[in-house]
Amino acid sequence: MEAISEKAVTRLEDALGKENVYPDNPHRAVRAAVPSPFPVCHWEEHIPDIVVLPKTTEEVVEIMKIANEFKIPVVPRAGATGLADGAVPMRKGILLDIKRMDEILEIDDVNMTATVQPGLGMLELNKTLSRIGLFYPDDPASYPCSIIGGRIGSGGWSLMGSGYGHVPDLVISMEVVLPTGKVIRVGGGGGRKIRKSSVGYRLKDLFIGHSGTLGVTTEATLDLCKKPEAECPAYFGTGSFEESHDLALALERLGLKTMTAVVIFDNEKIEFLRRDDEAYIPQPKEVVSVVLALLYGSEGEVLAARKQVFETAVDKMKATYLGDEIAKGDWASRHDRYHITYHGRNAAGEVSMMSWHCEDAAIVHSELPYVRKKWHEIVKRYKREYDGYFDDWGMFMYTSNPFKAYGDYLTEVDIGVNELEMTPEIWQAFIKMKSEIAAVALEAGGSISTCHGGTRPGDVELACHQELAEGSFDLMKDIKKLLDPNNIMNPGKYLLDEAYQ
Amino acid sequence: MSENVIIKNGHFRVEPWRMEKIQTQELSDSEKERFVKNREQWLDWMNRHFADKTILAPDKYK
Amino acid sequence: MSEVYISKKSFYDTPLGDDKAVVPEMRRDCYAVFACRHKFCRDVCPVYFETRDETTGSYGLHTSILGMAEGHVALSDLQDTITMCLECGACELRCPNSLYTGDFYGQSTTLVDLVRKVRRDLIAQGTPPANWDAVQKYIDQDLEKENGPSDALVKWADDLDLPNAGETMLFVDYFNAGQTTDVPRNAVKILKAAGIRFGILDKPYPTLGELYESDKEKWMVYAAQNIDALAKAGAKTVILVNPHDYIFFVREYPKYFNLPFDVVYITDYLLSLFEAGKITLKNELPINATYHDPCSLNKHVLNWEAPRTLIEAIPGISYKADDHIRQWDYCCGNGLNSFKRLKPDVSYKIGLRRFSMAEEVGAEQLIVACPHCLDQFTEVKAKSGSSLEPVHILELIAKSMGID
Repeated sequence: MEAISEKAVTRLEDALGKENVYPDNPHRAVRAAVPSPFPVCHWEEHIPDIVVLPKTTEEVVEIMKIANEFKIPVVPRAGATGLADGAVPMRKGILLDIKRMDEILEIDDVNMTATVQPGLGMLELNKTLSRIGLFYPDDPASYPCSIIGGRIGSGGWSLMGSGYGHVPDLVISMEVVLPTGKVIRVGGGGGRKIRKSSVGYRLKDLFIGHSGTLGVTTEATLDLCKKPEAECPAYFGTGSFEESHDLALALERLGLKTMTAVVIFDNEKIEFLRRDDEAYIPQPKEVVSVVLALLYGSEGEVLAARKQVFETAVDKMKATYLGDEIAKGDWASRHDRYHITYHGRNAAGEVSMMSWHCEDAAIVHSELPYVRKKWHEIVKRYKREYDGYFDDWGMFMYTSNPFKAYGDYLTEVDIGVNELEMTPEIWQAFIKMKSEIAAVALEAGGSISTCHGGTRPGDVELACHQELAEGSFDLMKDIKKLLDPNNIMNPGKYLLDEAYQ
Repeated sequence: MSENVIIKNGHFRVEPWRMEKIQTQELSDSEKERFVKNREQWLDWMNRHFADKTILAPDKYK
Repeated sequence: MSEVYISKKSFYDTPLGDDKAVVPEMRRDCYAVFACRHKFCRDVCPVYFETRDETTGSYGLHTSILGMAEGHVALSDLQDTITMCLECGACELRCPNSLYTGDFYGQSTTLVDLVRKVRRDLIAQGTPPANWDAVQKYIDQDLEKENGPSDALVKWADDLDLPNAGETMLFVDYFNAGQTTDVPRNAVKILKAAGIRFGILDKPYPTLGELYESDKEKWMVYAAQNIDALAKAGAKTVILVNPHDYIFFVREYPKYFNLPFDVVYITDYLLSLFEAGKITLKNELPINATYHDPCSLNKHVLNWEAPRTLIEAIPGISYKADDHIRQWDYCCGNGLNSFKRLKPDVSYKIGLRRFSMAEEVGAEQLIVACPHCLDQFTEVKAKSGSSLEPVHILELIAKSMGID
């Protein structure tokens, strides 16, 4: 605790109550990592100096004021289930854990909104909403434990987003505490519930996906829907990735409003899932690649759309329907199928425990085969070179255009990373692999990330100096300096330290 | 399967040689069956959580 | 034989300590939970729902011990955080390592065992969990009963005329025998009415979970004595009326001993009698009720159907319950062993939250199948002034059968 003064700690305790301020080792050490690869050998560098759990906007304001006065970094943390790396402290400091801000402030079942504090879990919210037939349709891989504030801070993407919208579409308005301690409201009109207005700049978007660099959301009004009456997850097997790519296009072109996602599982992904078929999708041998057409809506709508989907996939495109068991089981497995530690393998085929890493570029439909080819070349090369440290866990491609299942795909290559035996040297190799992967995404005219942001090591240089090169990054630095004069909010992220040099 | 597996009581098990570097724990068959049963129940629950009803293939495609 | 649910890790036998290295297998095993980092374990933890603190629970504890292996945490740093576990088992159910691939890889997450182990290790190195004195006092009181006159332990059955031997034995623990005597008494009356011949031990030995997580050796001596006494009494089937003991009999005793008899929980036994037509639920009970799954049954052994089937068979009852998976989030607040005495304030809040969930489904009575839930809910009702009435399932069955 050398980096934070006793005086600052006392001020925090006075502001929040001693029971909400934790200087001890377990509380600090547990809050160093998020799911993106975490080299265990570098743990110490990311342990915050102190952990605070405020309950109110006023307390967050106090924390900001103290942080500015003592020039201490503040790192906001919600569920810490995201791969954005936003919640990993780069310069230690105050870890601001928002999970005690967990109230549902209002459910408006006429205008279909819920106003919540940011520390509320999405599963918790939906357990309450579903009692009255409502639903908050945001569905990240971490859905069963992800938290509203983290979804906002990381600009989350939803598996159902092509039907129901992603986080930027689902958050109507917010209360934000700026780095200086000033409280502002963004979005929503005077009553905070207006989805579409043309007054002023679109400031709400500035506070979605900033990875904790511009402030802390302390309240959000969310867009609800009726809990879907019916879902239909239809899984079709094909003989090659190319066939899947064609089938996906045919499904996109059906123009169905109920089409909530089209998902491609490539050959390597199917191989990976078949390491334990039973937990996922036991399939006939001839299936090499898979396409999922996902429908949500009223029963009548889904039944009508289902007919077109099956005619297109089976009758016209000659894909194989994989059966009802897979349909139900795999779709329900979607939050759990990525990251089973024991699915890592070395070259000899032995289990080598690995953590899940996901590269998540945004790529247009036409470029998917190119990106897929390049990415697997890169990952397989590193897998060969660092046997037992990296593993190619295959690719998923999900439609990600909000409300429209066509065009953009979240294109994800999943990579097993052996963090426990990681050395600083191999960690550098990992970062290099990431840069190569990101470069391919840019070559293909894509974005480095659909949902995990561009601040992770290996991404950040390309993100700031290439993807955002045409003036965007310069403007980001100006905004950062304007809102956060002392660079207290999550310093070290997005190369924003450059703004202060 | 992309790898060979052992089949016991109708369920897949990893080949023991793959786990040589990892100490296996003592797990009774009932305990393993409990995982399988729990998984099936959990998957059903997840479907119900997101929609009132799960519609599967039309009969002619089953 | 009855099913036994064992997941046992031999490296848990190596003590952790401030000056001890964490053995490689322990480090690897803790990494298996840390590596996931999805923390699905967190959002089913009834303690987390009150504290919102991710330091506790499966992810928090496994990460803390991994941190111990890496030199960032000491065992004695866990004196506070280790108190924050009910041992309810929800996190184990939700852990993808077990849920998805535990059967395939033969690896499971055993947080409950780990919590017990860490509490023991803390006690052994002289830095016990915070507020442990309150637990130790309770243990001492329980063990005094064992040393005292044995008829005090069976006083609850004085007027019931039960033999001390038989092929079917009803095992009644100290808690039921001393505090919730209506539970075993109703069990006896129901079984008798169904024409079952059975006995009880003239002297049962302690089964106290608090002892298990502090002095395992002593607890095992008593376990051996219970098994021996039941075997000598001629037991082929042992019926349990406390689910905490039931899971000891099917999950813990078999780790150390061979049990020469079948073990069955009272609600399963009664369901089989009901289905065989030996129990008739004839009286209408016009109550508006919901059911609370005891963590021990629902989460430790996936036993949730029998109580629901029995309740639904009671004529006249208006019954609506949250499903058993939603109830992974719930606990009465007592926890399996030491929790209530370590954290009475959080225990009460968890109980209150459970009450509010029962009220949300519109219930006036909260049916339980565990004497500890009954005890805890009775206390929550008294403290909060709620009108919700906790009631044990055996009481309802007895009433519906027309037993006084």
